[in-house]
Amino acid sequence: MRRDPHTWAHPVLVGACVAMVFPMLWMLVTAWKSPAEIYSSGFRPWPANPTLENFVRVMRDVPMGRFFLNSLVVAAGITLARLLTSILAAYAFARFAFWGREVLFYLFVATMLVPFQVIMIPIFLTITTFDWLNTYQGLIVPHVASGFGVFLLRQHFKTFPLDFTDAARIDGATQWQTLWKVVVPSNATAIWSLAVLFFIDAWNQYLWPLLVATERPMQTLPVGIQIFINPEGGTQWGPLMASATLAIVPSILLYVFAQRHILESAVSSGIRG
Amino acid sequence: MRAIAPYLYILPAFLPLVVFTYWPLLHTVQLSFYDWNMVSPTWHFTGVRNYTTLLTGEDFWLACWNTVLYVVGMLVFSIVLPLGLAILLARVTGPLQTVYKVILFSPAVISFAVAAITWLWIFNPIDGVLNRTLLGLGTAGPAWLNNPRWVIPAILIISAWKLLGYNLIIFAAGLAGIPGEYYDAAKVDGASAFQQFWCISWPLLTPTTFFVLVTTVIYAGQQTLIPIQILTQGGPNKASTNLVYLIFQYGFQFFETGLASALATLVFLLFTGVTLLQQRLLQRFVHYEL
Repeated sequence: MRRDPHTWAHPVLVGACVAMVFPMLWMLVTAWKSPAEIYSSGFRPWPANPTLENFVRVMRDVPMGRFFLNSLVVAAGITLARLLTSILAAYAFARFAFWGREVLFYLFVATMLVPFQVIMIPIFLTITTFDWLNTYQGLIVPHVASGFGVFLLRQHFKTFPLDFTDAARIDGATQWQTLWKVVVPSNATAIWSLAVLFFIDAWNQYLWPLLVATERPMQTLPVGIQIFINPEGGTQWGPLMASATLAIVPSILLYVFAQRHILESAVSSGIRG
Repeated sequence: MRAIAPYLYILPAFLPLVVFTYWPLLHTVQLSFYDWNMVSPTWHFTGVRNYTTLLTGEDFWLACWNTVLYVVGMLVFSIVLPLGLAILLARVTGPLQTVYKVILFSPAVISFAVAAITWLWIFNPIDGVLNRTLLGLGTAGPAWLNNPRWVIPAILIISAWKLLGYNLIIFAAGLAGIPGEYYDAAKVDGASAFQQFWCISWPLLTPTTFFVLVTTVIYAGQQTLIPIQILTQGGPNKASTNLVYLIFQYGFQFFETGLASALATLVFLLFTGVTLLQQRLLQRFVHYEL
């Protein structure tokens, strides 16, 4: 008699869940420990005397509020701009017939093949020429278009029944009105999913902000909190873990509230960085 | 007006892609033929010298080899583990399946940079929880990120942890798409669980596996720059460097813009070549039905 696979599916899956959550949990636990407890030997999976000391030091030593604001402005800016440019281009590719449509579409899709690391030097030079180092424009503008966004939304717009848009056109609506009053509301779910994906991607960006935001007041969270790391051995683990905890709160909250969107859109796409 | 309307719709997306993708790509190739330090007003045309410097030096080949290690290591971690877990997950029904999925996917939504910071603490040789636990079990752990032999495995663990949930739900979706009748028929014929996997799930999953393969190679080749920069800066003694990290170092630490651009050009050709090769393999080995 073969053993029922259900008997060991749960222990293995629970074990995997523990392994996935542990690093985040350990960060959270360390954030609430006093320095004395962090460096004391022994393994205690919870703080003996929970203290806010590390969070207080983070707020005192670095402009955490400013980092939050910068991350928020950059992520929101990139998300809105990418959505707008993707919706417009996807609509044109899905619903207009025009000269060069196929070639242009391939040019859009092909951008997904170009790694950012390959083109970061010329982009940096361009931003320097514009005098956009340490500005929100410098952080946002290179990311305002997304070949992936155009590709995904075109799929959705193409499968949207023509009858609805035709009806709108007969009622005298222009293409522009049809897009915003019929096509966009009807594809709201896909657009929301894409928005969530864009936001997480932008919120988590590291490499570009590292290059462009060299001055502390313009840094975003993932770059700014590295101040607590000291490669020579003096890393302040308490404040570092407290600031890391604060930095992932928005991602986790968004995940809790939009997990269905995120899981579904992750299947049809990809989350990076 | 009607004739230019579609182009106006496309322009807001097209213009940034030209300025921030296509032009930089051409500019990279152009810069690769010059000797320039990013600040000097003069560029010196040096022909293919940057390329010969790279191809005759040690750094490039070391970075190539390490890139292969990262990619192969990630393929083992990020195909075998997620696929195994997805198969187990498929046996779980009801809301518990969603709970597992949500938890297992959670590392994918947080910033890779912040994740790397967390692991820096876990991997700390003296006070880190990993070596403390190993010490409790009676063995002394290595200095992980400071040890040339363990540094790549350590970064692989971090990257695999970050990518596991994503690949898992892709596999889970692939498995869910296989019609249940195939398994019912196999059971009637007395096929074992392994035979069911090998003769039904595995061949029908090939499109999914292929997709996971492509994204994992890209992830291992490119995204590892983040933990490398935060945790090791390519060290100890270049042990953890790879191709994209070398571009970053040449470009923004040594200000060897020409050399960095030559390397970026080679990396682009290499990655595009691998992707195209994978497309060819796709056509040969992927099954869409039994």
